[in-house]
Order: sequence, then C-alpha cells, then structure tokens
Amino acid sequence: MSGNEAGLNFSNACITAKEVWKKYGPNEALKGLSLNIQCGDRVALIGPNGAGKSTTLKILAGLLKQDSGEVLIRGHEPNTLEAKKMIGYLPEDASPYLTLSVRENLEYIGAIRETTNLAERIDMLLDLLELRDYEKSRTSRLSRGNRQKLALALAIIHEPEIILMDEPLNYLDIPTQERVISFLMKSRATFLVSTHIMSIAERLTSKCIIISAGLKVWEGTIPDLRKGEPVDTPIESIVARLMTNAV
Amino acid sequence: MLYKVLKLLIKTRFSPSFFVMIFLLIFYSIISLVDGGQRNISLIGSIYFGFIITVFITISIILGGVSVTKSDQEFLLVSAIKRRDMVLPLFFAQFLASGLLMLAAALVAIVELYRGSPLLIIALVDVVLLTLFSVSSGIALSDRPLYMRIPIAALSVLWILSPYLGFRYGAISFLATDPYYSLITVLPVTVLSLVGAALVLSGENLPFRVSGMRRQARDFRKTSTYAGLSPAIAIIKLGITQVSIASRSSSLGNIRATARRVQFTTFLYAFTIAAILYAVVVAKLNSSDSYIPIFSGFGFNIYALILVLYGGSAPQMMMSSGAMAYERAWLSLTSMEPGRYINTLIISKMLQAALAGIPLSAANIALHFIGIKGTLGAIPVFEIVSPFTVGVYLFMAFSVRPYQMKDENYIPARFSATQFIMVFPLFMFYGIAFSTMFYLPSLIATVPLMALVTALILTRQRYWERRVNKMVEAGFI
Repeated sequence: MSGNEAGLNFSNACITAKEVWKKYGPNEALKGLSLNIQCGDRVALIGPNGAGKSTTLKILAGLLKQDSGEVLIRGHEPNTLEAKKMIGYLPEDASPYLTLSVRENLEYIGAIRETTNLAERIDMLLDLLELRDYEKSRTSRLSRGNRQKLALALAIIHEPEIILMDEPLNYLDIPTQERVISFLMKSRATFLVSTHIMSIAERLTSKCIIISAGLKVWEGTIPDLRKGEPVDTPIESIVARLMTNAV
Repeated sequence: MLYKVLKLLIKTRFSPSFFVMIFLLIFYSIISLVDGGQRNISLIGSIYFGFIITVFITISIILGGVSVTKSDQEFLLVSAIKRRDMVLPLFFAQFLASGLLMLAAALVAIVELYRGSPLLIIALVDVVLLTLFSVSSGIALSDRPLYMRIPIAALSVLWILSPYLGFRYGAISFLATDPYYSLITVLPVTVLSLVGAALVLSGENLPFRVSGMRRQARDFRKTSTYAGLSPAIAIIKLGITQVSIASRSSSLGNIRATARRVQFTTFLYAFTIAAILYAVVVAKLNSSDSYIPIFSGFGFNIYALILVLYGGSAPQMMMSSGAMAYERAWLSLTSMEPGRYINTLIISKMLQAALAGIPLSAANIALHFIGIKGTLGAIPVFEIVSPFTVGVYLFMAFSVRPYQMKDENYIPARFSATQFIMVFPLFMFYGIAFSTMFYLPSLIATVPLMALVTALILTRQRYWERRVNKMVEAGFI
C-alpha cells in the first residue's frame, strides 16, 4: 500500500510513521508513535531511557517490524530493498565484523551495498575518521573509540539519503566529534539522530522530537524549545521538564 | 559468601532447562546401570568414549581459560570479596557448564562398557577425574600462550590414546584393562591440574588474566579484498576463504568468545595431511577383517567408517559456527534482503565444507584403486552429506535463537536447553552417512531427500524477513 492510499501526506516526506505500536512481550515500547520527517530535515530524537528511541530507529531501519501502524521510507516499507538502499543505520554500541580488518569491513559492506566509487569512498572515510593507520588492523583489537569510528564509516559508506544514528558520537574523542559533525553538516542527507546530549542535538540538528514512554510528547525546532524560557535556562532543564510532565 | 557467589553465578549463567537436559542424559546412564548384563566393550563404544575425552580435553587445553561473563569481570571480580571465597564457586560454575556435559556424554558410554562389573565404581572415578582434569587444565593455562598450550595438548592426547600403543597406565586404559591402572596416572595429573586451577582462581591478578588472555598482533598478516565484487560473490568469497572460529573453550559446552579467523587454505592443508596419514595407515593396516560386508556386494571398511565418524561433520560444523556468531544484522541485513543474504551465506559454507572434504575423498578414491574395498562410501559423505549437514546446521543456528559474539573473552549467552537442539544435525548426519557407508545405493533415496530439504532451506525468503524481527528483538544486532 502506498502512502497516498493510506491517506497520508507524503508530498516531500522521507520518513513517515503513523500510529506505530510495538510490544516486547507484555511491555509496550511504542504506543501509537507518529512521525513525519521531510527530506533534508535534521532531526534529533530525544527521550529518557526506555522511551522507545532505539526501537523507533530499528523499525525505520527494517530490522524490527511494528505490531501495528504504518512506516514508510519515501513511500517504501523499511524492509524493502528500495528503502534499504536509501538508509544508513548506526545502532548504539555498534560492533562491526570482529574477524575482519578495518578495510575488509568497509570493502565487504561496500560490496554488498553495491557502492559506486567504493575505493575513493573508503579512502575518504579512512582519512576523515583517522583510521588510515588501522586499515589492516583486526577489528577485535581496536579501541572502543576506533570501533565506533569504523561503525560510523560503515553506516555511511554508501552515501545514504537517510541516516539513522543512535548516539553516533559515543566514545569518539573531541577532535573526531568535531570532524564528524562538520562532515555530516555538509551532507545533504536527512538525519534522525537519537541522543541524550543536547549540545550534540543543537549542533547536528535543527529540529527535535521528544518521546517518552513510547509516545511523542513534543516536536519543533530547537529555538522553539527555548521560547518563553529565561535566557539562562539550560536546554537540558527544559527538555527534562517536558519529559517529566509527559510522564 | 561462598554460597551467595555460587547462587549468583548459577542464576546468571544457566537456565533451568540446561540442567534438565544434563540430568536427562545422566538419568539415562543410571537407568542403563540397573539393566544388568555382562561387561561388553564394543569397538564403537570405546571409540566414542576415546573421542569424547580426547576432544573435550584438547579443546579445553588449547582454547581454555577462566569463563566469566562481562558483568562478572566488571562487578564480581573487582568487588570486595575475598578471592578464596570465589575459587570454589568459579570452578564449580565452570564445571557445571562444561565438565557436567562431558561427564554426561562419557557416562553413557562407560556405564554401557562396565555394565554389571564390580569395577564400575573405579571406572567412574577415572571418568570423574578426567572431567575435572578437562576443566581445571583449561583454567590453569588461562593466559598461557598458544605455543605452550599446543605441546601440552599433544602430550595429553598421547597420554589419553597411549593404551592403543600398549601403555597400560594411559588415561583411558580402563577400556581394555583394569581401571586401577588408569588411576595411577589420572589421579596425580588431575590433582596437579586442580592445584594449578586453584592458584589461578585465587590469584589477585585474576581480573587481568581474564581480560588479557589473548596475545595477537594488531594487524592481520594477510587480508582479502572485496571491492569490485558483486554482493553474492563478496559473500561467497568471504564465506569460503575465511573460517571464523566461534570457540567453545574449556570443553565443548562452555562458550567463551574469541574472535579468531583462520584462512581456509590452512584448514585445507590440515585436511590434506590428515588424508595422507589416513591413506597410509589404511593401506598398511588393511586386512580381510577391515572390510565388513553388509548386503549383496556392498559393505564398508571399518577405517573409512572411523574416518567418517571423526571427520565428517564436527570439523565442518566448527568451520561454520562462526558465520552465525560473528554476523552483524545491522550491517548485512540492512544492506540487502535478509533471505538473499543468509541463503548466500549458507551456500558459501556448504561449498567450503565440500572443498574441505576433497583431500579425504581423494584418499578414499586412491585406496579404492589400490584394491581396498569399502572405501568409496566415504566420498559422497564428504561431498554431499557433510555440506548438506552444514546447510541444515546453519539454517537451524539462525532459526533457533542464535548467540552473537560482541565482546571477547566472555561467555556471550546463558546456557540453555536450546543449545542441545544443535545436536540434531549431527544425528541426522550420522543417520545418512552410515546408511551411505553401509549401503551405497541408499543414496538413491537420500540424495533427493537432501536436495528437497536444501531447496526448502534456500527458498525461505519470507521466513527470514520474519525471523530477523525475532533475532533483533532477542538482541542479535
């Protein structure tokens, strides 16, 4: 069923979720979550632990199937090949293939994603993430930070149009964080980034969706969050209040 | 405190279903005890027993270590509990995971061998001590390098199998002689090994020994390239040329992750050496007794049967097990359709199993042409039945809640009864392999059956889409 048949407005929507429910056994992770993210948008997905952020990203990446509701990636269901080609997904605490080297990981995933200009793309990512010295290294021997760099490179190796990232800057040192932020900001991709760190949300995204207990509780731009608040109020306090009030 | 630690370890490492399975196995052995009868050492029974003991102890020595979970290392081992209070719980928990399984597997054979004999108790003491040796030797050698472990493992194998060379005090000489003779060496060796294990477990540097067990170079000496390959060729190249070892150390039942890979060519060399040794030994030992006729004009060679028993399934399944444990759903299954990816992966491992069997098949062809009867049946076993078994094994491994190795040196999953389901492909292998060995024309029936099952496995596109959901829900990411 296409988006139009479902009665949704997908004019320029990259990610659309309507009334999505997901249960793990008796626990409801998502309780009718709806999202509508336009192409080119950079959106932070914020919420307390257990709010359903990671579940949302896994459903959008096609790794989990919602119990009910509809999810579309530019009009395609997430588990279709068309959607998979558009998406780059980075889970939290991502672990690449431990028995491959850094370069083998990139070449292997690049090959199965049928990436064009793979060699150039790998070279660019190795330099950007300062992994050049580790090309032949066993992934199992990498530090947690370098493993995260490799995971990030693997998520974007095929120049995805839509990037789903769960705490992407975890474990990265500050200079690498700066390079990654700068690189992502230059990209034309649509982002949905799950994070707890508001400073990252502010720098990497322009919009913000706050979810709590499986429901969307607030949506808007980051300047909107500050509206009506004293200038010196930390943004974390504002977000915390929104989350608490929602519960 | 000792009891509390033990309770914690048991609760966090084992599901009740694991113990149910183990006790069912032991119960079967006890039931066999009351059956009466005479002492009956069958050839197959003693081969089975020798095989179990040799494999468990060798794997324990080469890959063994202190088996702990990540939480154990990060919280339990650094907590303010006296180290000596942890020795027994840690050892006992490890024994429950691996030793008990070995004991259950070995008891079935030993009770059968000593049924009705007054020497059963001594034989049982021998077996229990060997089980303790298996667990404790792995712990005692915790962070020792491989070059030290391999000679110790070789010595142990020699000790275990020495009765076949005429040494009456060998570890399993009770299969042929008085079990008191075995006890003379088994008791001191086990005590020594237990002391070594106790020293490791009571040492203040235990947390470092757990995390620092591996000493590998940072870089691979040899790497492969996948750039420019189509998706299917990339998967098949990786699947065939690399063997990821998802080691189950400290004996087969105890899973501790080590991210190792071995080039397939190394395995091929090992299989080639094994094939040459096999051919030479069979050619030398061949006699009229070694050929056992079954039906009109058909029969098997006892040595070819032993080869199939030892080398037809376990190595191939070991070579495939890492394909599941090291898989990454967030990378592969978001890159292409899950069904297409998993099917191609399964095909690559089936091809790898068929390639690995070529030297052993060639050895059997050579033996046939020099006039040794009953060896041809081993060829379809290695070239058809083994790859088929690998296909079924991987299908089941991905279907039955698979465990995933994300951190090294730790137990990656709780022990539960579901792991015993993976014995099913092994039984299936023996059923088809032995029917092929005993009566070659049985292939007329089994080949179409295997082709049908393989086709069913490789056409489950929608099944894998649903399955991925379950795998990811269970934490396979």
